[in-house]
Amino acid sequence: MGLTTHRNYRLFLYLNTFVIVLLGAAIAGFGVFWLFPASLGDSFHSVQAIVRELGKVLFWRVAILYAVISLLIVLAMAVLHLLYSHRIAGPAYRLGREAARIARGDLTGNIKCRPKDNLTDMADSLCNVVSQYRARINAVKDGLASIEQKSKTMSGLLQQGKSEAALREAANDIVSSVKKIEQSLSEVRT
Amino acid sequence: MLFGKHSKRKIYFIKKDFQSRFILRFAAVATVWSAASVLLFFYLANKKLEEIRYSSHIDIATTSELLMPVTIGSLAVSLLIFAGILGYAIHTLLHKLSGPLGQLRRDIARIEGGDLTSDIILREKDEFQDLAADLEEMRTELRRRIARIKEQQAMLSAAAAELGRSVQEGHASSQQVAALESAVVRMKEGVHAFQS
Repeated sequence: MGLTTHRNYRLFLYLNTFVIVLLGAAIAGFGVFWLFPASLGDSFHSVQAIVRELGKVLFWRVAILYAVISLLIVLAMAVLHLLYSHRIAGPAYRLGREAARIARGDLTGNIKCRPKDNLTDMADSLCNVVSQYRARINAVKDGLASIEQKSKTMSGLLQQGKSEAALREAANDIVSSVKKIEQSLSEVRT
Repeated sequence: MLFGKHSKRKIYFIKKDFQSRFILRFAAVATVWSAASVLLFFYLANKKLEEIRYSSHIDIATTSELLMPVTIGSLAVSLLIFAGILGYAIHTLLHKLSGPLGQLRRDIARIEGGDLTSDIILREKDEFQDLAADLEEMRTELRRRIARIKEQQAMLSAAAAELGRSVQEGHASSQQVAALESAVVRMKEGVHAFQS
């Protein structure tokens, strides 16, 4: 499953949408009785006359009533589904922004998600990307700092003409730091 | 991952195409329900009126008595059908979103594992094309920057190896140390392109 939604997202999306239409149906039900006269008359002929009249106007009145209710339902749905779609679109937008930040070389941040957001697993994965590459880059930085320090030591030793043993130790430290850097970078396939 | 308690939403219509399609799907289902309800109501009500028109005895006094069973019946049937169609619409919508998001999640996991070689591309009609483009940009930039560091690392390794050999053979020179320092400086430039 690619879309990891917040708990009950699907259920509440279903229920809230259904409740809107249910309310619309209830209003339509009341509207039908409001649109037509309450009494059919006292005599057989008056009932027949009203029934005939009812038959003539029934379709258009009910169609207009449902059109108005339908418009209200669509408006309510637009608001409701704007919120529900935002719970996917919002995190997706922020993930894109975060990816752009990483592309600029910024590995400092964490991805912020809101409690009701979806796609939290993708946000976690992207956070892991940031922390993994940050760890690699920091390992390289540490290695370079160590090499820089040792090379300064070697420069001093060479100028002072100190013992071979001290030079060998510094050279070994440099080689060891270079290997650590190599190891950190070899984990990344480019 | 942090959960930002104080980060309030300001713009709700953030991915217009995706959100428009999301909203339209449900608006279309509701509109179909409405049209179907009218037709069903009209069909049942007309049938009832026809019955009354041709009956010799009428025991209905009000429109409520006449139209209530028809209204309730038509609404109940249309709501039942709507419930089914709504469930299907939500299922297909989330299923449609799952494919590209699953693909992107796998792509991110691959990058997390250190593989920057594979492109991040979705199928043409998939949702989240812009997110895929952002992730692809991230991958190519990471790849470019790390490839550059790797090139500099090769020079650093060569300089370190040469210095190590010279030290072992007892003829290390200041020039070799300077070459190593120069390789370190170049590599630092590449590494400092990252803020970590």
